[in-house]
Amino acid sequence: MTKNLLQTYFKQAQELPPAVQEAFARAAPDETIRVYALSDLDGNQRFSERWLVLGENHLVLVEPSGEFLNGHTAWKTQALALRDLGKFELLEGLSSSRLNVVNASNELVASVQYTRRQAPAVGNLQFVAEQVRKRLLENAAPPELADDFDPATEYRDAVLKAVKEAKATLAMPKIGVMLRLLSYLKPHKKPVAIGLALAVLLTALQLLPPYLTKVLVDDILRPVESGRITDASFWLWVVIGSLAAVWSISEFISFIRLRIMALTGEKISKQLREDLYRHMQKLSLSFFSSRTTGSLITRVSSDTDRLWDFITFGLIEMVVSVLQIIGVAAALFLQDWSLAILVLVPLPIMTAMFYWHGQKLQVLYLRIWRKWSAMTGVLSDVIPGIRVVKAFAQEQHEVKRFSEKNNALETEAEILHRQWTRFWPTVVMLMHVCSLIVWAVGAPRVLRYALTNGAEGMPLGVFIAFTGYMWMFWAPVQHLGMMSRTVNRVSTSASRVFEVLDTVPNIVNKPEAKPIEPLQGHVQFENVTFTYDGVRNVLKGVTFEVQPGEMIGLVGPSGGGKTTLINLICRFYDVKDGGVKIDGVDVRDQELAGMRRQIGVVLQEPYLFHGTIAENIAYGSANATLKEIIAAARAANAHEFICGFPDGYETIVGERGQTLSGGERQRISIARAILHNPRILILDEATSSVDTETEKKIQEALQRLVAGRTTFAIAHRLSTLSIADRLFVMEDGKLVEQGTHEELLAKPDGVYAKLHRTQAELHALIAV
Amino acid sequence: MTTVIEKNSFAEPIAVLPEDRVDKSNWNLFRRADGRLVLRCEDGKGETTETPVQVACCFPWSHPFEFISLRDDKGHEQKLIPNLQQIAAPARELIENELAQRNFMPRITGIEAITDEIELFHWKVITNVGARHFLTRRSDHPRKLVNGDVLIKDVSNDLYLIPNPKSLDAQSLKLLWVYLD
Ligand SMILES: Nc1ncnc2c1ncn2[C@@H]1O[C@H](COP(=O)(O)OP(=O)(O)O)[C@@H](O)[C@H]1O
Ligand SMILES: [Mg+2]
Repeated sequence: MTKNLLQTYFKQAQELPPAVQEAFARAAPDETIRVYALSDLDGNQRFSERWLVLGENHLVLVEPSGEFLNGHTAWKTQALALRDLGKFELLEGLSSSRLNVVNASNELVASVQYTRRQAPAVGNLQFVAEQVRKRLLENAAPPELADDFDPATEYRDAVLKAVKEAKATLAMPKIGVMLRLLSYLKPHKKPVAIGLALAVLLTALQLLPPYLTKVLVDDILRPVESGRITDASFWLWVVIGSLAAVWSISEFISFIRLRIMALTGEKISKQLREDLYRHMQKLSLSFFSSRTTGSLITRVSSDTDRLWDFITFGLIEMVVSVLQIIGVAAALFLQDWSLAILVLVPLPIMTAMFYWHGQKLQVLYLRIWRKWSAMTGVLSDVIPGIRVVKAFAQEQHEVKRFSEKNNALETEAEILHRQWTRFWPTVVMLMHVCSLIVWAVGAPRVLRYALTNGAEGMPLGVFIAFTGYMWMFWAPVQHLGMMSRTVNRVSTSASRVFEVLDTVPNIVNKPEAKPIEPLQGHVQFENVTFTYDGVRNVLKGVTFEVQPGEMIGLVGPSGGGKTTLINLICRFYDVKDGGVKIDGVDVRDQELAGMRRQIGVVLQEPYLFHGTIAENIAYGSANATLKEIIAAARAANAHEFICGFPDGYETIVGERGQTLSGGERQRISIARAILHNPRILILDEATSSVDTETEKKIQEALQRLVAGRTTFAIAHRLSTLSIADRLFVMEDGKLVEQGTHEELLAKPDGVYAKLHRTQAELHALIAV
Repeated sequence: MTTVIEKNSFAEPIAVLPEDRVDKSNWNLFRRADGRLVLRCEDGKGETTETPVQVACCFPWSHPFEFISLRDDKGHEQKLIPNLQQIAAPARELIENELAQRNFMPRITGIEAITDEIELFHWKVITNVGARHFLTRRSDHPRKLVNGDVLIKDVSNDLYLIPNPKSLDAQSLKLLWVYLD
């Protein structure tokens, strides 16, 4: 199944077609294919199939020649020797890109256009082609192929990456999802079995009352009239007593059944929620960055709730409905087979009607859901920005925007309400028609029975029981008709839950990984290359070495890769090439949690959890004493303002808690880092969002924190970094300069010197 | 809040358009041998500069032929053309060509099927440039443009335009109905 995803979803070749491989072999004999990509647009911007195939010395363009050979497309080729190529130029469009290949004398030799879908694969090809070309020109020998580089896999993964980001587990059929959900019932075999058994019992019991009515009429009341029995009142009480018994037993059973299934359902959904959350915590940052917080919260909360609903009610209901239909049908046939057939005929029609109604509702619900999210979208957009709305006096405009969405929702809901309000009376009408037919056919027979004194026709009791059974038919029919919708909703929820559970964390401990405790704090980057999206390199060959206890200031234009660099030190992501070593050991060979415990981070936007200030300071340092907490707060210049709150260290902060200013939050997070006592400290623009006065206080706090630890500090205000031992200048993913402040200033054309000048001018400007 | 401000104390509106300033420079465009579009500018003193440029649209959806920005490879604007109609034919054709390349987007002319793949929808469509299959995220709604056209973005960020959806055939329209307003 997973093999043909490209074919199924995109109607795109799963790998390089054999005919194209042959064409390549003709154009570049004896060359191994390194990498290939599809260009899915032709020169007239129509969808077509052209292949870019990179060998060891040639880039070959393979495209349909427009002719056919034995009924197959004939391919023509254009082979470009890598040595003669100058550069590749990438021009991005709205929904497509163009790759221009230019030769050494600056002439365009080939130009291909392709959609976004192919962009990652073409990007890979361009990257490899450039590397190969460079190495060809440098040492004039075809470079070695990396061992684990399979062109077909690279191509497939590149094209499928976008799909996998939207949905991690592809090709999980609905049936598979349902079966997997049922497998969660396994540990609860006993309650489920009891629930089912009770359901069967209940169904059987429910068949009794119409039968008892029949006994009452045919075997007691009628014989009394003809004076055939004498102890009639005794039998009357027997029947009434039985009815009472049946009803009370069935209510008791359904009470037990509901309770068992509700509790079991809750156990299962609790387990799912916990598994889900536990697994989510294991997943890497890249998983979270590709999904909205809202959609992840939904999975843990409402999706698991929907599964509870299904296990508690839906599952048994499905089984019971089938049993009821069989039971009632059997009872009907036992009473009178010809009438039974009459009742059963409309059954398929009714089921179809319910099915069709369910399908229709599904579409309507989808539409309503869209309108609904458009309306709530306005709310979640505007309410956080209410200050801006007020400042620009746009209240009226916002009300109008909201009521537009609100009206659209109403219009949509109207369609839905029209649909179901029309449906139900129709259905009930149909039921009545059916019962009328039964009356029309059955009543004359009852009459004949009375006239012929029981020689032919149908006894009255049988007829009454029969109509009773007939009305019992409709509820299960309705349930089964609605089942497709239930199954749809449940399998959607279940597969969204399973998707998270199936996502494999891509940052994991090696089995033999050992913690190094305590770390010295020696950090080394060896030719590190890194990419977030697999195509564009964000770090390009960064190399440096930092001694234990050294403080490094990271500066450079935004987007230069500073945050990315520290993400790699923390191993939030793994490098693409090269290596990051802490204390001489590659971070991938270290025990993850043990290593991260010794790294402290202070971010630009400090995050405080809901809880007291003391709990926030002690986050990650579970055994801290009150004295230590106060000492840390003091060192962070936070003690004084904390004592100023009526609740002191027990002031609740975080969402819905006491509002703190940016500087105050920052100092609490610094206190957290101080208490944490890390060997390696990372400050990512820790002082960017505070005023100069507060910055001075934070600065002092930081100075205490930095002492004796390896520190990486990112800052925009260069003055902040005056205490740094060395400065690293990052630009465009490269470490372009490093040295002390004085050394860097000494290079008049240097990036740092320029940055310094601009900031000095800016200061002068503000000072005026 | 209700202080009366003298009229002349208002700031002048900021001039953003070249036509607001007086554009005296002499310029033209040509296509270089390496396929790039190059802007040749001549200042008053007979000095010419040649810069390879890329075109960008300020309003690609509502006004695709107005406010065209010519930018160098670093993203610095070299020229802003308020309206393509106002410039001479050779340069206009070059820009139109470049825009056609850049703004390429399939137009859906018929929908064969939209199937629910749980988190995804699988579309099978016919476009003006051939048949196409693609996937969209469940949470990504088609976007309705001001002129009533519908724009669909798939998981790879490819765009598909349905010009005037009401004109689609009945079968396609029925499939699309879920997304229409
Ligand atoms: N999670 C991410 N996914 C994809 N690209 C990213 C991500 N984070 C950063 N980038 C890109 O990486 C580049 C470097 O970013 P970053 O390291 O944050 O720069 P800096 O911290 O120096 O401002 C930027 O071009 C940015 O767009
Ligand atoms: Mg940053």
